[in-house]
Amino acid sequence: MRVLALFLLVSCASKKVIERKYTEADFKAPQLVKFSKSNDYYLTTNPSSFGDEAIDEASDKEKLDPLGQIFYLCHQGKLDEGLSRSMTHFAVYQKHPGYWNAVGSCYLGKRQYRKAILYFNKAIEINKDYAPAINNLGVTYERKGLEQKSIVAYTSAYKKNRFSQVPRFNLALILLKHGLVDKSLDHFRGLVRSDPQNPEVNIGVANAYFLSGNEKGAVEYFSRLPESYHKRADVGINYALGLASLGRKQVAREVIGRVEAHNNKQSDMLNKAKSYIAGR
Amino acid sequence: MLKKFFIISLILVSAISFADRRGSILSLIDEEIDETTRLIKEVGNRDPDLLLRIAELHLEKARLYQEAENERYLAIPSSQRRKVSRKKYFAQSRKEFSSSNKYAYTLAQKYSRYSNVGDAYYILAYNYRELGSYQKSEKYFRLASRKARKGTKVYYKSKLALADSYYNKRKYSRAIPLYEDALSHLDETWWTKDSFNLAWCYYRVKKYPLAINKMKQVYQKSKNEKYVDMRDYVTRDIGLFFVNSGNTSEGVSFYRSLGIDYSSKLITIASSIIDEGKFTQAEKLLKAAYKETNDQQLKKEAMLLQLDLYEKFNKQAKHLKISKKLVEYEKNKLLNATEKKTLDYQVAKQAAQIQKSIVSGVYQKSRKITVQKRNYAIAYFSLLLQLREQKAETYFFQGETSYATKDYGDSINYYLKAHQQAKKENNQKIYRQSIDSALSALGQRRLGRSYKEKYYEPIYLAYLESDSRSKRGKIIYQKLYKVYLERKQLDKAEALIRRYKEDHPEDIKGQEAMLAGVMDIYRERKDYEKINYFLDQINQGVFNITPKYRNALKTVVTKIQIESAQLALDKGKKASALYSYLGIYKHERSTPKAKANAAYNLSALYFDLGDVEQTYHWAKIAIDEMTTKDMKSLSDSVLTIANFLFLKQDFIKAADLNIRVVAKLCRIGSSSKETAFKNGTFLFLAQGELDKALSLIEDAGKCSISPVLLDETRLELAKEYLERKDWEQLEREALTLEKSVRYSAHTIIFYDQIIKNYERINDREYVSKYRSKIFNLYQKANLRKQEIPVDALDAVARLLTQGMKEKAKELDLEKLSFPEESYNKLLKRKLALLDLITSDMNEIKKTGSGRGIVSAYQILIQSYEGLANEIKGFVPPGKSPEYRKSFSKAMQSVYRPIFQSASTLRNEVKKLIYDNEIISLESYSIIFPDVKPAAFYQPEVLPKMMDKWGRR
Repeated sequence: MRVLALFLLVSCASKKVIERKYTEADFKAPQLVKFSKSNDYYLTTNPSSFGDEAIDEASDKEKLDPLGQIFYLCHQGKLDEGLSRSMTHFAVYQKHPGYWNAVGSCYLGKRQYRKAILYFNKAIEINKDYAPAINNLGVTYERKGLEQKSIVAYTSAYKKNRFSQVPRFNLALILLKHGLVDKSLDHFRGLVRSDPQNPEVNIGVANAYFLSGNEKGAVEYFSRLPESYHKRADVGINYALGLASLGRKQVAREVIGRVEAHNNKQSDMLNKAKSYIAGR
Repeated sequence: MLKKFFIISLILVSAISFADRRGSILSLIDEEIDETTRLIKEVGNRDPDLLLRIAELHLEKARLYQEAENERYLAIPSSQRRKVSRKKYFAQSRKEFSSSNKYAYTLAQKYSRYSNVGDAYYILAYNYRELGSYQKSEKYFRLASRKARKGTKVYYKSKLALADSYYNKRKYSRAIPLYEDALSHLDETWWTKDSFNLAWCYYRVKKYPLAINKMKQVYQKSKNEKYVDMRDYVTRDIGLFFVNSGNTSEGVSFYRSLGIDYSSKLITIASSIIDEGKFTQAEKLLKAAYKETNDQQLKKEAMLLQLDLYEKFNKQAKHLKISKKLVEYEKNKLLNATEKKTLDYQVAKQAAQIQKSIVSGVYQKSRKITVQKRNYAIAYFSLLLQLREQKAETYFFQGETSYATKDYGDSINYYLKAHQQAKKENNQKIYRQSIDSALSALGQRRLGRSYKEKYYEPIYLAYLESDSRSKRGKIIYQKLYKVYLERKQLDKAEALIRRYKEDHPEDIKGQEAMLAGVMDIYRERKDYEKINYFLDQINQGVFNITPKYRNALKTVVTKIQIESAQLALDKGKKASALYSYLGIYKHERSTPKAKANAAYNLSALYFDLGDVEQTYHWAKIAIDEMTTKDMKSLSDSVLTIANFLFLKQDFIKAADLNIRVVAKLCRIGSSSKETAFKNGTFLFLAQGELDKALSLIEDAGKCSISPVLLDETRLELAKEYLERKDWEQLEREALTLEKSVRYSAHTIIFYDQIIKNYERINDREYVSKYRSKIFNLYQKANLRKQEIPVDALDAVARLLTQGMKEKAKELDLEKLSFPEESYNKLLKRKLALLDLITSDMNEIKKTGSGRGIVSAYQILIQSYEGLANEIKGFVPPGKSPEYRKSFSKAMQSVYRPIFQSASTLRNEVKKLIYDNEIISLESYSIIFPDVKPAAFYQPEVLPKMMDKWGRR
């Protein structure tokens, strides 16, 4: 006991432990839900979109399975509720990698990165090829600023399933961010081929073109986007700069106007873009 | 003539005293010898009658001398008699015998046809007999009987003498006709004696009726004074004749008629012939004597003599039978002291002899005989037991006999009797020997199981009665204990343990072992009451046990206590087991170990139920209450439980269990301890409890956690500090981590961040200090060929590029200017500076940092391009157009190679970036130098979470 005293024990001993009555039936092991690759997707109207991989674009959210419900709650920012819900499904889903991916995702939402990493790794421990958890590890690393590690994770997740959209998208995005435009563009092109209507992918292609000096290509892809996307600063400004470079000053002004209308705060980038357009 | 002379002699003998008479007779004989000698001389030795007469006279004279000599000789004390010469004492008689012989021989030689030559032969035969020459004597008696005239006395006397000779030689058949013929014609004094001999001859040739009749004749004639009285001899011997002829009743009648007890005579006869080796006859006599008498005394005599007889002739069965009869007499108090002593002697001697022969292995080749002899010996000893007051030794001998014949079961029985008896008799020797022997017999392999089972207890108890405190006594205690244990006689075993404790209080281990055995059986029987009783006894100090055994016992009790719960668990009745364990834990009699075990199992069962609170609650109790040893063996399971709490997202409880495991195993080596420590630390870090993590790391240092693992956790802690920008703590941890063998190079990352922090407040001293540290650590790691993290390499490269940047800045700041001399000087310096920047870049390349290399290339390319552009764009001031043109042309050869180099460098780095996917903010401007959008809004799109595998 002298040794024990050395340690700062957390001990919850003072807390009254309530004994509840158990019967033999309570000990009956519940039927575990096994992971099946072919059933691990969200229902979506567009089979090629991110929707079957990521909750934000999934349809019929009312018909989600228990794991989908956890993702949905956490995606909505109801993180504690999501985690609480996860506890109710522990018994049957504890051997399912998707369950631990959901738990990890919720903790990532809470910015508790170490916990998120632990649970994503738990999912990978159950299924070493489970691409969603590997991707999400990449996301976690990226959030922590460990970009090199996140590239490794995205690449790994992508290689586990060449048809998966999300890891490839994340990979393309981070490569673009760090100037590896050609490589990024390859991934964006691949993504746009399988999901031509996906706005995020089109934005990616457009930006890649823009950075590589292909303003025409960039403008073409920006123009494919619904107008509602133009008000987003990162889309509208780059679109407007591209248009201006091509001599389409009027359209560029209109696009900048939408950005300006939607973003109350004047940013340096917006002013710079406005003066550039004016100078053309 | 001769006959006349003898009559005279006899008359004389009766008339005067013997000595005087002998002298007178000798004088008379001498006179006649003188006269006869004169006459012989006168006739010139030609008268055989005279020769015969003189031979007779010398013979008579020799007899008389011999009588006198004999008297003298016998008068000498026996001690001296052996020393004197017999010849010397008998010289006179011998001389006369020789003289007699001389004349008789002369006669026989000269006058073989002489009618009385037989008398001469008779004299010769007689003389030779007296002189001890029996062969010659017999020869001359034979000649005498042949040559003597029929019907003469010499004729018959010769026959009698010859018959006696044959009788003495046991030639009875040859003696009989000689006796018969002689005795039928002679009726002299010695007739009874000679007839007595004849009767014996008949007896010897089994002519019993003739023998008996002759004896009867002798008896009758002996009544007459004329004859030698042979009645005593007849009564002595005739009984034997009757017995052997089968006419015992006639013998009885005969003796009765004489007023003599037949049996007593038979006994007397038997007694006399026993020494002659006449077993059969003696036996018959004695049997007859016993049978024919009602006199108990005679019966006893007969039987005692029979014992003697059977002993001499080694007839054990018969000896035993008689012995038994006599013992019955003794039981009826019919033997006097002497008789009893004789009987005791006989019985003891037989018993001893038989036992001796058995022990010596005389009969070992035949089991049948061995058994028979054993039975005899045992029977004799049994008789001795009836005869003697002191019986212990006899019982012991019975045991020894049975032991010798390998009848160990019987031997034990006797030994035990001997032991008991010896105790009564206070015979210490037999008391010890008997029990030692019984133990020896008990140990024999040949002894049957049933015997062993029968005798274990009595023998061991008997032994312990006398010797319970010795070393051997200790062994016997243990053996007896084993017997009780095997028989499940636990009350006896318990009593024995108590006794053992009194006798061997120092043998604690022995007591422990005994207690263990008893407890095991009670445990099998699930007799908890009894077990508790023992525990109380132990606690009260009734039994001395070691602390070690006390612990072992506690384990046993614990096992018992948890048995029911364990059983339920084995049968899959987990709810039942759970409540059993709860009961065990709450029960006041439960041992600490049982409680710890119950707590552990409760934790495991609640773990099965997924009940976090209860799992943690009981696990915590189990860890606290279980021993370190148990903790070590169960640590994997406890870690599984802790892991369960982690999976249930209760990081604090999970961490707490891990810490408890570390604390419990602190002083012993265990891989689980390290796992628990690592888990605990990481759980705290995940929970954001950095202080607790730090505290755990610091405490764990006292628990022999491997330094590498401690450093690994410190590294993680430092990362957390960095993330939180807790510079003070980071600096402290980094300084500790800097000393790590494995992780010192990782410290570079933290120092790099710390430098940035100090740069922010412009603390050059600390910036310089940590720069030095970084370069030292980097060099050490390279020397040790340690792996350096990419981020650390980036940090080193970043510091190196700072030097490059300064040189590039210098290169850019000092612009080319004229006059020409100055221009050349400046250009030369710039080119030299460019060389230095290039050298710096080569250094950075050595770090292997992707980002550093890209950054260095960027600086270098910009420096090249900047210088080339400056040269290309320089217009000499105040110079003529021709000069300018010429100057510009001359400078082309300078700036073009510089542009070329910049282009080559760009291609190099582009390839590096693509090949190695180096992510760097400078990459874009290197790859797309010509694309210069007015602005680019970095997308705000965050990386996407992937929830599901997807349909494709």
